[in-house]
Amino acid sequence: MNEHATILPILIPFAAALLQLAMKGYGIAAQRTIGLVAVLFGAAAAVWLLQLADAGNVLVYALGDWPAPFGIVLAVDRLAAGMALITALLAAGALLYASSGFDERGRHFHPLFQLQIVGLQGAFLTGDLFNLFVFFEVMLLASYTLLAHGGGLARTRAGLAYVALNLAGSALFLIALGMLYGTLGTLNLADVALRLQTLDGNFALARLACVLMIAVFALKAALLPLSFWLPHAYAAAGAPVAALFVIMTKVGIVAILRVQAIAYAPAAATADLLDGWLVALALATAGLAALGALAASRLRDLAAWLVLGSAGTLLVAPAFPQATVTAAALYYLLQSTFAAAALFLLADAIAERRGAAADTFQSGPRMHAPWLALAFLLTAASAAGLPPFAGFLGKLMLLSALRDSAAATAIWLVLLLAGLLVILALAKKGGQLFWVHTADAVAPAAPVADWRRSLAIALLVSPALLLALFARPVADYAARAAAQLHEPQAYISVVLGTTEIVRETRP
Amino acid sequence: MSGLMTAMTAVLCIAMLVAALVAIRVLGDKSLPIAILAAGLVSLLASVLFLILASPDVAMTEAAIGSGLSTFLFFFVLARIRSWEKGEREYDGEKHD
Amino acid sequence: MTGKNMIKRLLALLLLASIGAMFASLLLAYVPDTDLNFTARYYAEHTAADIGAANIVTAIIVTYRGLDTLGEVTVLFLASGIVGLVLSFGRKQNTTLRNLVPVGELLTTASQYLAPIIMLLGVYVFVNGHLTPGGGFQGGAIIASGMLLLLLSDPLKRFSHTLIATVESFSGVGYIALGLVGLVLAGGFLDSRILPNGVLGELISAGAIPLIYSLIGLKVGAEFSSMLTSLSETEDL
Repeated sequence: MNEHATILPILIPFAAALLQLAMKGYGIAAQRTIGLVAVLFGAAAAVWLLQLADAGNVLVYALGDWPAPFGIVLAVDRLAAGMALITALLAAGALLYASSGFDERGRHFHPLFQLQIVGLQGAFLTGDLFNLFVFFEVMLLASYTLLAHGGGLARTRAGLAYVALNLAGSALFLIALGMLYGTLGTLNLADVALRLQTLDGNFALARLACVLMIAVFALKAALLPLSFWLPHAYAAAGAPVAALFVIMTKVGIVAILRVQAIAYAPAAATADLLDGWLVALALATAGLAALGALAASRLRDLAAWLVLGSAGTLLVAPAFPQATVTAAALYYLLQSTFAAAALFLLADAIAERRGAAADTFQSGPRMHAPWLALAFLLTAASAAGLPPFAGFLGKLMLLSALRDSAAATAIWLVLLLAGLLVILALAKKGGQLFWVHTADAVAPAAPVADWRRSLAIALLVSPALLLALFARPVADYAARAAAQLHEPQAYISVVLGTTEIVRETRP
Repeated sequence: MSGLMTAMTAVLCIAMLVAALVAIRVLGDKSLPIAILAAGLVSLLASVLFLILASPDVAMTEAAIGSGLSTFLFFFVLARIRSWEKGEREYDGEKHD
Repeated sequence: MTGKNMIKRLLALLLLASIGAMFASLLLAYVPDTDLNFTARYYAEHTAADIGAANIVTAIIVTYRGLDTLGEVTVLFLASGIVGLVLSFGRKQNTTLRNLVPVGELLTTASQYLAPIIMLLGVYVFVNGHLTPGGGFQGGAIIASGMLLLLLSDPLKRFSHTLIATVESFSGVGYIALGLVGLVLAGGFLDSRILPNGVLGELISAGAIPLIYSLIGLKVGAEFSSMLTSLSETEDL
């Protein structure tokens, strides 16, 4: 039974989506119950998977029992299991929040949400590049509709640039995969890694395929020239949807980390693929995001810029071969994901209490919600990187891990400056939200306290504190995950397993 | 691949390039319906090419979906956009460029 | 056309040409393999023994890479759902008032006789997917093109949405159920070896492939049909 744990995070939401579609006629309560039970089971499955993966071996699940590279395998190392758990927790928070009424503003919210989880989990767990493409597509198609959910035609138009850009990205991904199969004759990541290492002669086409693939992942991760879709699309989406979307940029970042560590870095043909340009672009992204945060006029815009900022900070990491850098990046990823998602939910909760002023940074009616202010303070302090919260620890680890690198001065300068700008932005704008009041502004009737919303916000805000309190075990896990990621030979031999023997006898 | 096959492939490729240029409205009379038909033609020629390259499965898919269904989907969408434009802005549906 | 538009188009053309030149130079340098590569050789040598399917492409799509196919079917399902969802924003029920170009006698009569034959061909293609070229995706598309012919000959024709939706969910659930049976009876999720391989080349052979591909064919046909009908029925606004 243990071996099937690997596919459960994909299978549970898939089954839930089918069940929800079949039970369309039974009202919203049934849809919610199925959805919430599914994310609960999904989270439990992810915890189980994490425990299994932490035993040290890469878990390989061969779909239909066909060995790699002939069939598709799911390959779950500590990194994949960790990402699956983050996705499951984020989904739980977002769905809980959406269940308080947001889901009724359009059709088919629940099955689409579950299918989005299928796409995300599949993208993290799979060990096959074409399968990654397929799960990307599932994720993106679900996201197109979720983005428009509850906003009618206006929100549909807001998402148009996002849809067009991602369609182009998908086409590029497909071309890259075609070239990769044409040159290397395989699509399994471990096998691609092996073949890249033994590639001789003219490898220009294979190299181009690898570059194209990085470009596609960079589009998902919103690296600078390809990042302008993000703030608009995320700010346009409904709060719970935006909260779930935070993990989508991380799919791109983890994909870059993984292909670089396992396939590109060990091979002579592609070892220098990320050198030089990635760090520069990542720093530019972080800088741009900080400026955007400073100029944002609404809290949800600010949160969207923070997503971009964390993507920029994280994308510094893949270019460095040291496991300590990767480990620090993973810890930072963990906290920045939850912080940004929490900010989206908080923006919605704040907007609800300020009437016409919504979540714009203008003076509005006084809010009588001390717990909301506390939650905002906690999240903002963590997102800004103030001690003693998780954001501070993450940035500290990342900066100290990068201390000895060649570009250390530039990285330190840009990241610290960007951090300062973000602190300024959050302090100034948070003050405007909570302290500046207009006396005659009419406060809307206090919304009914909904336990689902409060619980969802608590779930996503608490990591700012918990990740700081339990920094040691979490950072240790991140270090183990990073160390495992940087041992590509172990990954390759486990995934390809016994087929290696077949290969030796090849005529 | 025999000489005849090579010649056929070359003719097909040239025809596809011309059709593609019509489809992105560089050549021809630059009307949208013609562009859609040209895009369908590219798919149709591609499916013949796949057949020459001995992959009947892909050829069938390309012919049925690429040149058949998606061409008609484009026409449905075009008709819808035009009627929407007429209704919304009293737009003259004949001038579409 | 204004000058600005012209420059825009020229720039786009230049960009396309340079990308084309780049790919062309790479492709000219590409030396195709003279024999099958490692994975392709495995498929060619082992398919008949492993799976019992005469069509190797089908074997790869349904069994070796079954998860991809499940994903693609999901993608298609999502796409048709999105079309329906987007079009539902401005739907108007009043469809009697439009000026239709009269449809010729030839088209009406021909489509009445042709459509069933086309659909039968579609069914043939997906039922024989493991023996002859084609399969669920192609057969489904052929079925949908039969529907398209009917729609063209009579644009006011209405198909039963319940029927399409029922076929869609029945085939989707059936596919997943077959995958889950593999979890219990065979090597894992989506293992098609839950039925005996049979004799190579016979209609009832190749394990569960004919079953799975028939379900996929129905599913694909239903998705495309629902896309077409929702587009055609909301044409008026």
